Amino acid sequence: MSHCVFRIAAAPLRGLCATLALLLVGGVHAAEPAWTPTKAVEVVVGVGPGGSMDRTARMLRDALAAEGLVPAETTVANKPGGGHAVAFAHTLRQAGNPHVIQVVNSPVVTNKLLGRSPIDYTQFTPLAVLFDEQFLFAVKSDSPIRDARDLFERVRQDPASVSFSVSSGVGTLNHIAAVQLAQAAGADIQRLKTVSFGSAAEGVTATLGGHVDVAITTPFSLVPFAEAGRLRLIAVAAGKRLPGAQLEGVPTWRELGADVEIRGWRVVVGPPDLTPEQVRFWEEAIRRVTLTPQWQAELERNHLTDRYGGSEAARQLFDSDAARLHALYTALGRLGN
Amino acid sequence: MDVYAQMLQGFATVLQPIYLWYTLLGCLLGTVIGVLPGLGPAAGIALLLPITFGMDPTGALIMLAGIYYGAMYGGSTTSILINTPGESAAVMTTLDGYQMARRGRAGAALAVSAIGSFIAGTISVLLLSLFAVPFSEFALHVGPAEFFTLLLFSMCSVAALTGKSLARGLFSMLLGLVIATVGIDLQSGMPRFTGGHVELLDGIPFLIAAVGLFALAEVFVNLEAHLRGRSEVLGISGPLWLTREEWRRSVWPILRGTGIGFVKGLLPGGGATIATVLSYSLERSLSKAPERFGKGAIEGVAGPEAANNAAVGGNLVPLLTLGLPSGSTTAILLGAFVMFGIQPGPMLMQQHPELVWSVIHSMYVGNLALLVLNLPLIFIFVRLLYIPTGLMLPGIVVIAGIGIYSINGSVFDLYLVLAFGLLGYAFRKFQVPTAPLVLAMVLGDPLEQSLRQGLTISGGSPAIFVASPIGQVFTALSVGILVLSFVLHQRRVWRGALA
Repeated sequence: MSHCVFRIAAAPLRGLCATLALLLVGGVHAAEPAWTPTKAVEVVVGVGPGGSMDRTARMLRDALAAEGLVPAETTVANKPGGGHAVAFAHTLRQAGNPHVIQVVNSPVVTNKLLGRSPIDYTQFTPLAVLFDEQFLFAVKSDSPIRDARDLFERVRQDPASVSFSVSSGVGTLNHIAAVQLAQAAGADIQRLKTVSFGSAAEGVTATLGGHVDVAITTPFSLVPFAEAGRLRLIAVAAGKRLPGAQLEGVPTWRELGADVEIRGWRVVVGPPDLTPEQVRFWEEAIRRVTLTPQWQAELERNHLTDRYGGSEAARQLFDSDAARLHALYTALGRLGN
Repeated sequence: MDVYAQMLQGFATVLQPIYLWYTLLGCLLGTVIGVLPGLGPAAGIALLLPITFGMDPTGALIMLAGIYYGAMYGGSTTSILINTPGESAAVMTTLDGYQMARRGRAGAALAVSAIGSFIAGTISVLLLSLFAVPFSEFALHVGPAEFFTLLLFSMCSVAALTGKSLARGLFSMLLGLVIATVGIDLQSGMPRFTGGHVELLDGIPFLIAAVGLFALAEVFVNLEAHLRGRSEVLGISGPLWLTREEWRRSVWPILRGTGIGFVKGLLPGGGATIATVLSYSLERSLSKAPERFGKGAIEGVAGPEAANNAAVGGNLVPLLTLGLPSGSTTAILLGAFVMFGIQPGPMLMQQHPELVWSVIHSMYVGNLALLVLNLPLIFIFVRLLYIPTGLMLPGIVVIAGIGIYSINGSVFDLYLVLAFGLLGYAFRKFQVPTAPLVLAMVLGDPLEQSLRQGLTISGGSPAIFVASPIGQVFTALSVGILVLSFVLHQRRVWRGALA
């Protein structure tokens, strides 16, 4: 791809020299975008290397660099700690710096709602929505819970008769999925047995050992065990069924008439005070990488749902999730402040 | 291709020069990471993970595994020489290892930990390659309730080794449990005792407390001794190597430590630290002269050092057979598999046999390499004891500071280390033992979480903890060890009264 996809806009004089230099390097000659990175970009992520969020950040960095949209020296900066709070604070300190972007997921909204951190999502500049990670309900292959309808019925009759493994505590998405199920069944959500584990893998271990009845987590953590015949996937908490040999036969909760739907979105945000040109650059750059076959193949391999959206889409996603979660936490009596 | 052909194929792979190089490189890096106080295997692998991207997966995973068990070898070195555990599984080694160094037996302590590590590492790889699948099925029987009883037993073992004064030991342990509650509580999702500092939301990392309480406190104590003109150079007395008597006393602790370490390694949750606690207290209770423990008993070094290395092989069993990490280091290794496009899970051994067997077999080579690497290093390491105080003390502060800062790049962590250093100094002045505090810090969080997980599952009934045979055994052992230590304590008191 050698032509430029950026809108022609009146380039501010200060960025012109640097932009021209980049055009030569990047081989983009059709027109100059209003703003492009002039130095290496820092892709911030609030976890250490190796986790799923870190993989997203590296996938994004590699794709942006491969397309020549950011300099090759662009790095992923791991800032673990405080449930992303350390990374959030780091990015907020970079106000007006367009060379810092951060990959975020639901804690950017929930931390403030749960009273864990004073940092609010409204302080960041939303740039783009990347994709959604879906959540599945799974039971051990020899579990007496036959299928989703059977689980629904058990929760309706006695919410304390089934235990759910959810990772990383109250207010996380998989916990919310369990709460939504109880609400849909008209059961008392306070009596629901949700057991928190430090990671998805610990929850899967406890489910495989028969210590917990139902695991609620991502396809990534569950599909290998379904392939090996050790777990049965009984329902997906998504709007429609997921593709793939193990997944296309798994019904959504909606098909069964239960309003259980959650989205584990990944969004890219920037520091406060970015100019509209800078926001437009990132929207376009990210749109471009999400269209590449490599990106699409990576999504398919990891059972992720493409959901590209620009800055405005990201802002709306934050707002609607914040409102929805606020209502749910109120019902749970877990509101921070 | 049948399993045996796959195993042989794995051997052929690891003997290629390029993979031998990766094995050696991993072992060398692991030794350095283990030696550096502040950098444990989990943090070390996380730091080095990004540099392996772009390498071929087999080479990278062989190297990362090498870092893991190499760190277990290296962790004991600073425990013995400067009373500073290089990682959490080396805390128990400080108790008798440092005392051995003070009695001029640093060389013997280093030698027994290298040889014990080699024996334990090799046996655990052998067990891993022969029986990985049946072992992994056993590990699934341990759920939150069973795990709680195991942790309870470990805590009781810690309480029983509190030394002369029960009150001081319990004080130290309780403070450790309090510190373990800092951070976001997993079950409720609420922050506790963080004082509004985001840096504390994840709790106080073990290594920060350990470096402060051990390394900095040691520096402060030595500084005071130096200023008062009472500092001593430890040096070496007797043969540098193990004496025949020392070797005889170490053989069985090494073998028992291997068994404990491997079995503990299989179980979900917690790393090798619990195995070292159990090994130490087992050796003390089997010993004919338990009063020697804490004063430089070689059994107290041999057992735990074997246990923490054997735990590596055990830890890899659920990772390689089921794709389930059982501790923080294996969780990062799992992330590494994914990064290389390999889906860990129950199908891993069927889908990538050549990779799995290469990693396993590289560990035979790596353990041998570490033994060869570590034995000559003893001659160099013991020279550290002759470094003048004026160079040694600032050196420790610098190395510890770099180690801690490199984990999160956080200045806040450096203040925390300083605070723990002052606490450790006060502990030394008031003769409060430090080990119960750090062990309670390591065990406290999983103890609390598994208790509450178990109670959530049972709907609040404590009967769940004695519902399974595993739970019954560990509950009985916990009660037993408490009764025993009480009886022993009373007997000492009565004897004192009679005398």
